[in-house]
Amino acid sequence: MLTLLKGGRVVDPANDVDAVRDVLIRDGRIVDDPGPGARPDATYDATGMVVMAGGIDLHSHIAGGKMNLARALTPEMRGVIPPAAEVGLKYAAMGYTMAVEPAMVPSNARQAHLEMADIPIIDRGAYAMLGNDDFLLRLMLARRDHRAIADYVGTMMAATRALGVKVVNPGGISAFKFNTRKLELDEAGPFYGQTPRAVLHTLARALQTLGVPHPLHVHCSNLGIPGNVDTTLGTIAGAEGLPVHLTHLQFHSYGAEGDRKFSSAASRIAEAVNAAKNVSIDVGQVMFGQTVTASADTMAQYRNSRFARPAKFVCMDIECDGGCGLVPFRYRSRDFVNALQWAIGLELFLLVDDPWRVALTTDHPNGGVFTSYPRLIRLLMDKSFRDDALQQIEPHARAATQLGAIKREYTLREIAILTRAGPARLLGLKDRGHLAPGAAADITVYRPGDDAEAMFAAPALVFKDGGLVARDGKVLDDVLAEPPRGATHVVRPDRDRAIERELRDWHDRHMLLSFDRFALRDDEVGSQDRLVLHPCRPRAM
Amino acid sequence: MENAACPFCGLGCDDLRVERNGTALAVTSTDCPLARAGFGGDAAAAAAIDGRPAVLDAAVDRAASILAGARAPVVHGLAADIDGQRAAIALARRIGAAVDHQGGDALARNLSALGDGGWITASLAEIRNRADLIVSFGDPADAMPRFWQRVMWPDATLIADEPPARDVVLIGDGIGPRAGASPQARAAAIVPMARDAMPAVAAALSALARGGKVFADPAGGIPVAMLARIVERLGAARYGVIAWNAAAMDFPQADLAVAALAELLHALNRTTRTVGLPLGGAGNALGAQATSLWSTGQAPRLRFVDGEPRRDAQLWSAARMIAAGECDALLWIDALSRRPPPIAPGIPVIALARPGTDFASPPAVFIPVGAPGVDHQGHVLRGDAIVALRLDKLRDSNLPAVVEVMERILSAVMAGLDPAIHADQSPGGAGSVDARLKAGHDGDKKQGTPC
Repeated sequence: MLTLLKGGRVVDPANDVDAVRDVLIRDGRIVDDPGPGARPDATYDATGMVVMAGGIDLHSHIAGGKMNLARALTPEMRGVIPPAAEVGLKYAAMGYTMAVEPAMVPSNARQAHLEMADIPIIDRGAYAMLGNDDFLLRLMLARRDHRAIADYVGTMMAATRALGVKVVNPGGISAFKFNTRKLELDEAGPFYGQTPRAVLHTLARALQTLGVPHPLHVHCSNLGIPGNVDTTLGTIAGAEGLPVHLTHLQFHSYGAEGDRKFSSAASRIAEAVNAAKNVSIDVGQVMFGQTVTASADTMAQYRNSRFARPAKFVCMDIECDGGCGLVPFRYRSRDFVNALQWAIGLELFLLVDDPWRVALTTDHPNGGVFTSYPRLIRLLMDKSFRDDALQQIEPHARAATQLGAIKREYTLREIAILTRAGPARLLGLKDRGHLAPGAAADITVYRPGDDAEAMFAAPALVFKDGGLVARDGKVLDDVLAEPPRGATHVVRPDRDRAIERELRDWHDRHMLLSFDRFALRDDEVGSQDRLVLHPCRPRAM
Repeated sequence: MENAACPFCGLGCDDLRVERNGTALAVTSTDCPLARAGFGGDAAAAAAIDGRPAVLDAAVDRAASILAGARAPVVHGLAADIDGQRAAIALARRIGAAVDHQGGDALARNLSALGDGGWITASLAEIRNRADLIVSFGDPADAMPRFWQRVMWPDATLIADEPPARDVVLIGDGIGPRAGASPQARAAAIVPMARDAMPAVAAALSALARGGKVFADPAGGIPVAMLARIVERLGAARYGVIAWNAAAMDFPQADLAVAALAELLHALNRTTRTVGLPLGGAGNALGAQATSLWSTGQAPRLRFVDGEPRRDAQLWSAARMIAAGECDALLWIDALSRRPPPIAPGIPVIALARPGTDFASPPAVFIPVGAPGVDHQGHVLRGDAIVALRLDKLRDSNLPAVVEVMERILSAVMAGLDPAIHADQSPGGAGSVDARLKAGHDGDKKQGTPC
């Protein structure tokens, strides 16, 4: 089956292409022009349209126990935390073909994968959460060498079927279990005596040793606290040049200046990010409206529970490897703090120079739901739209942001980087996020117009693995009746398996589950052929 | 078979020795009554229609025709592995059924409190390693027979390389004098309480923890000074645990008692760490809750109206619907505990149940099914809703899994609803519903290592 996408403007920054050209698809892959003799079985006229690779969301809370807790906590809210089927359909309708669950607690990995298997159409992946697990903190306390720690990290990635590793409030979730309410970057945590800086550096080094493509995914300490800019700058320095991805950076770019002791530190953060080429970020943009924040950071979520709207929250200590906290939030444009959070996120987007190191996220659902991306894209691309929005926010916040003075408007090419080419590169997905022959035929065709929100909300055509799945922002009826299943993307670092002996003993002594039963087997959730394995490139240390 | 995993309560043990003789299994490593009953019993039974033996195809067709013709069907029991529960919910969506778990009352009590104010909890291994005090309403072993051995009295913890010294306070009636005693024979403090006094006691504890004064003394039959001492001990504990078993709370306003405990947890956590432990989870109750939440956005109890889930924990109680005459077909699923369906006079009952289930009267359709972890592989969610337990196949019994039967019924229902589909898609054909559903479960079927 040969499919021809004819005459569209192909915006494919990974291959440095921005030109009118045809795209050919065969057997789910993009192929070279087979020459004049070949006759396409299907032709789509893309004249006047913009053709991009399918969108890739590298940070979106789409599965796992905490999302179910969020659903159970807020039965009165519909649509904020969509069920699995709707996650896939809504992403696909919006032209996204992959999303990564960023906070898979290892002990909950099996459930997260069971749930992700029910997300139709799109590809998925997940980051295993480490850095608050008693096992790692113990290895560090025992001053084990970095090779053993890397073996452990690689073993956990394989056991939980992970695409990356995320650290959340390094050591802080563990500290909260010992009733420590705040943990500074250089403060030794309780019992194990490890500082967040040391945990962060240890994990970043382990991933480099293993050659995991995605840098350590970092949710910094002190989330949401006015003045946390110093912690964030310290975290950037603490990476010491090792690759790190700082996630939902908006929540970590706060100063403590002004009458209300809350200010934007976006320009200081952006300056540091611009200078540190080892750092990539996603923003976690706040979009106004009701949501439920879902985070492993129990320390922060407990602290923020006093702002819960409606006034209820859940915190859970999880299985000596993590935690979760759910706090409903209503972000209001007329609230000083919320309005400034919104502005800080946009400042970050506009002040970080290199789009390859920025991914577009709202940290769904924490800053806003992922279906708000088209509006966010318009805010980035359209200065006058942004200025109009700025006029609507709480006046003191408006006075406290430099947003109005920033002239930058994102180009289509830059949006393509933020939403597909960049995330694919940051995740190490060689055959996604671009449109060169050999790439997966995950393709989105947009109808350009003055209103970028409308353009990105309702793509004219969306292809997943070469099959048309959505048209004009709606999933096709026959796809709804029988949705295709996407793949799960994983890495499996090479490692010395000797560490498994220690893990077995640890599980037998302290857990209620043997290590063999903790680890996922290939044959138990979904089938082997739907796992896509990405290579690691270990470094000699 | 060593280290077998057990799906029969919410504790999720995976250290059982199970010996096999033909298709007969016997647990030899523990005297846990739930494990012994669950792994024991017959491995074969014939399907039946109105009490008379029938071939499986006929039973499936009869089940499908009852469900397709029903105006208010109820899918109940729901005690299956996650694949089975997922398929049951898919069928319920198709036929516009209400969905309720056999432990629906307990789930509803906890969900009500969770949705009202939230709570602070911990998973089981966290409690095993950190607790220094547990205050439990009732003996946790009632819900999880091996609770004390597995959770409370390990040989060592993360914190200390020695058996933990833990204080135990058990509040309730009928608690044996040795309940909660440590291996070193340190007895638990047992505070007698009439069962239905729990709302008053929980409210008083919560008020005291928030610094309020309790004027009615005693509260729920317990001197307020004694309750104040319990709050004081919780406040002084480093990692206190408050446990309750919602299934045992069959008295009015049980949901408010849970909510009062949630408030107590909120109050205590202002200064120290205290976590809630909602006990339960038999019949894969949390699996049913989780599967329902992720596949519909709503927890049971719900009813599908035009394919959309509508949740109402009171309205869609299966027991209430049956009693009120609002149910005209009952699909009962229990692949775990051999609990018979509720007595439902005049309502056709389709029972997917294990051999040996003791029916009060023969159901309209009986389809014997195997148990996950015994007759086939599968997953159940532990009572803390964190750990999904992988279950093995321990014998060759030829008993189908719930998911297989559900697929066949769904396929037959759809064929009956739409003759065109029937013509085009023979069961098992490439384009059939059957095949589509099966595509997601290939992995489960292929392997399995009989011991």
